Amino acid sequence: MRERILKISGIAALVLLSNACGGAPPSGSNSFPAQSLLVLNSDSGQARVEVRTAPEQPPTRGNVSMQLSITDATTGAPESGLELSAVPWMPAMGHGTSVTPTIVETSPGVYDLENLVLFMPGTWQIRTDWDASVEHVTPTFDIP
Amino acid sequence: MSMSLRHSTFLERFAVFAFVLGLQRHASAQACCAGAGTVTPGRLALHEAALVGLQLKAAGELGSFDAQARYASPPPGASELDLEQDLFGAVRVLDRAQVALLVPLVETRRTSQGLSEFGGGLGDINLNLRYDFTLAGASLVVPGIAALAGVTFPTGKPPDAPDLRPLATDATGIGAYQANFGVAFEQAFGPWLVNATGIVAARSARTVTSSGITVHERLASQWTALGSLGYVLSSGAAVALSASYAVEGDPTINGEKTPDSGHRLTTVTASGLLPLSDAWRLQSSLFLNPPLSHLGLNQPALGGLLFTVVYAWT
Repeated sequence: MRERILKISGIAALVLLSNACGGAPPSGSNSFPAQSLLVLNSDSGQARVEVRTAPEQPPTRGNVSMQLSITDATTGAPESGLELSAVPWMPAMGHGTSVTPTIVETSPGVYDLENLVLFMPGTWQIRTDWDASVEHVTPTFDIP
Repeated sequence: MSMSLRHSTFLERFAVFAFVLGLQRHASAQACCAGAGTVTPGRLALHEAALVGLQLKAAGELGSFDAQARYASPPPGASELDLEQDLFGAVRVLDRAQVALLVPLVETRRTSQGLSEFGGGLGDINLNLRYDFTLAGASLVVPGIAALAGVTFPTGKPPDAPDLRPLATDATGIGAYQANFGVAFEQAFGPWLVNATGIVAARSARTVTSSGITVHERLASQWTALGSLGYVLSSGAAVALSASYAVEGDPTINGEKTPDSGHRLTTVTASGLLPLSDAWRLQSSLFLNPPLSHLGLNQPALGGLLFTVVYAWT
């Protein structure tokens, strides 16, 4: 698998939000690797975010799952109970996707994002907010 | 294919297409009618009052260029096939001014991770104006010079429309208005015709809100340079080689530039034109985004075929 990723701009925090997405293809495996793909800071610098992807890491084209492990940047304590929102976006093309990702907190401070349908090659941002859009993190992937 | 790319190739294809049509006019009427390559899909000769045409396109994905301009083949099981049928017409509104309209139907087939999806629909309608200040071959010194202007309307569905299929195969537009301006130079040297065209395209900003997140994006202007060389055979048929290079800067999202998000694309095209009569002509083209690193950025690379039939009234 090619090691082609990334650029990142960062941010971080927490919670869980489920948005159903009708018609989405089967989501990727929830078996995330132990090693993170990216480590980002939230825009405010108050949170640290580890990013993992499945079924492949780095991700390839198709339905991707992403796990965010969010901790306090100072104390390292997990940031649980956050209400996350996420939008996949292709900045070079100026569009997102028709499928709304599903976000579930699977353990304290660990959030699984399903149904990120990165349907074409190029740079994709996963623009992620929490705390009423005050905090942001934007994992960015080059999808072949 | 990305909608942005569709519009990029739109411009280039039309420019090449118009150039090859210009070759045919050059063959039939020599310097009196030839003009520059243009964004207009159909290009009228001076003796023509109107034309209609149908262009069929099929293109397959070869791979893609990443944000560092590195080329990579698609991952196993991933593919894309783009089909398009463009109905177009042009009408003369002044002695040297013509207006053209293009209505595209767009279909896409994508496969990924064992999934396969096919969809399509009406694309973004394009309206163009062309004005020829001077004509190729009319002077040994002054080439044919034409001004081009056009607008593309967001009549297609953007890829983030909520009612689309997951792989967005029924996305057919970019969701924004696009304005095009250009200038074309063309000169005849016996049976040879040379063309240089420059086009700039600007798109309106888009605002998309999903899951409570608002993305307000303005794409940078896109600049395209096109060069073509054509040769007219004694039979009246013509062949041409063209190359274009399109560049677009980084977009602005929520008021901030997004670094490493611009794109570039190189396209080479070989075309042939066969006049069947004074009214009917056929054209075919092979086009390719060369799958070589540094010839593209943040873009898929495609290869494809175009077939066009035109009927003109004098």
